[in-house]
Amino acid sequence: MQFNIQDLIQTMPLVMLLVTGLLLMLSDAFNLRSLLPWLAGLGLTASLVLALPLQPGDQAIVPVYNNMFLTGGLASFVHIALCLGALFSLFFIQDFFQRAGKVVDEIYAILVFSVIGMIMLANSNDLAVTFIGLETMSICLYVMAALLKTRQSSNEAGLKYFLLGSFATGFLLFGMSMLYGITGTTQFTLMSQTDMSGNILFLPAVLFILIGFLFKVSAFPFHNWTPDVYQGTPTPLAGFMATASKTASFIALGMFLHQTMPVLDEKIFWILVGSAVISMVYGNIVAARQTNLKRLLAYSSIAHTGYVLLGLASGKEGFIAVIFYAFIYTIMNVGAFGLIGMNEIEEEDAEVSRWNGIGLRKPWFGVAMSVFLFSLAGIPPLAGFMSKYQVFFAAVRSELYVAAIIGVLASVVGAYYYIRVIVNMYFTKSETETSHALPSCAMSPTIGVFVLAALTLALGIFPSPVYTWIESLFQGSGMLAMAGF
Amino acid sequence: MVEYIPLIILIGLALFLGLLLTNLSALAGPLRPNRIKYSPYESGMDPVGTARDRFSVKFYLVAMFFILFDIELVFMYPWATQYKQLNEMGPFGFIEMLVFVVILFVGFIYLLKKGGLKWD
Repeated sequence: MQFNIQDLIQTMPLVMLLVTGLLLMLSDAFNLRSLLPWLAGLGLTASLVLALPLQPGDQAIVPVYNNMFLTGGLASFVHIALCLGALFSLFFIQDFFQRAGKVVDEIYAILVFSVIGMIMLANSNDLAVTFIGLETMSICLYVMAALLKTRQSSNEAGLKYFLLGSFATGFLLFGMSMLYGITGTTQFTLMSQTDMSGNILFLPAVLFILIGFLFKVSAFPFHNWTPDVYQGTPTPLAGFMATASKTASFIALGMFLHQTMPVLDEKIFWILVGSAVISMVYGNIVAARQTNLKRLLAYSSIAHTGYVLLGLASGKEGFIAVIFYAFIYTIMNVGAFGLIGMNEIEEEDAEVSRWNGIGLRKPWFGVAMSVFLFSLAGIPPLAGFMSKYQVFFAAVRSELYVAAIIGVLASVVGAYYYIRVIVNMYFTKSETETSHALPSCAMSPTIGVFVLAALTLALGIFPSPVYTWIESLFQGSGMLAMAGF
Repeated sequence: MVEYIPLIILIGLALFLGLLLTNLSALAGPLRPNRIKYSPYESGMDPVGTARDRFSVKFYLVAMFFILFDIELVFMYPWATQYKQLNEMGPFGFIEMLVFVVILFVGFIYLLKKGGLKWD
């Protein structure tokens, strides 16, 4: 057995997260309640700082632990993006549960452990690590969905997500075993050296793996769980689920496809494009009929999955756009879900009709929600526009004209239902005054909203620092260059 | 084929021993039957009756803890047999298992402190 101390140093950010998670469990066990959010925030920040590429050599990807796991370069960026997603969600969690009247101290440990799973999933170079990461992430997400034990919808969400999720994982595992049967290895980079295209098992293997991943990102044929699960999940955690777990799954899927197949197989390519187009059209049209904000955002997240899948099918340019899109989507969607959570004590508070006139009663609240919704719709000065532009641009560059046109048309439908919410907030009088003082004015969610809204605005006007950073990660000589990038 | 012979011997032995032990008590033991003795689980639940009975969720908890700590032992057993080879190049194997046990121990403390092992 070979063990390299260098590997341990390279994976220090991940070890940091693990230690944080264990400390959180211990502090929870010894009833140090007030410490928990701070400890979680500190640990995530420390891990993020450790992953920052400070030396010039850090731009390239470094494989560690016998090529099973990737660090540095793109992997570091993914690590930072996922830690940021968890940090943003952290702003809203404590306040939400306080108002819901529930003590759920274990959420902080679960949050940190789920981030570990996501990072393992996204940065793996080996089917076994991918699977372990996926399961670590998923199990934490199942618990998150069912966290409000006394609410029936939350129980329903947890059970649905758990049963369907484990079923999808079964498909994924079956595909992995077939792929191992064909190539005799579990490592992505070694797989690319075997010519698999002639094998009769190749297509079923990749299809089964695609089923597993498409379920996790809720793309079209496997999207049905999304609205029910997001509706039942505690709202700030639904935001975390919709963004960070999808980011990790998208990057894992992209890395898997690009690393194992130097040239994307024609059939798989069309399956990706087909799923993307139907997700965009379906998600946007069905979202237009929703009256519950959480369900609306769930269907909109199916549509956003469609945009990202389109990027995933458009080669290297597309993959850069996908990572950029996932980063931006994390910022705006965590913000939108966070705001819904701030305006919620009972479940029905997420109905659009409860939001009538809120923009006039609480100006800053309305403005922040408008920023996030306009950004999700892809209106120019905001970040959502830049990310959507990059994805469609990449699609056009790889000659997916029809798909890109359908996507743009679908996002016009999308603009309708986002703006309908804004119309409700400003131009409709509220018929029933809610008895409780909403939205919440607590310190930490307010700060969170301002940070996220500012980022949405700033990245819409100056997207280039983040975009060129991602672009530069693809230029270095690394594994990605080897695998046909 | 030759390498499978010990396996076949093992299966044969297990079959023989199982049959022997189950039948030995019937052959050699004293037979004083009564109603309770003939129920499928003598000191457990009655397996015949409505399936929609409610019973304590703690049964699930205990089953889960059992699996967790059982798997730990399953993991430790092959480690113990390979201990010498793992430690040929420094204390790698020892430290690796130490990390595993520490993580598990934190879980155990959590379980104890949260009252997972208290029945009432």
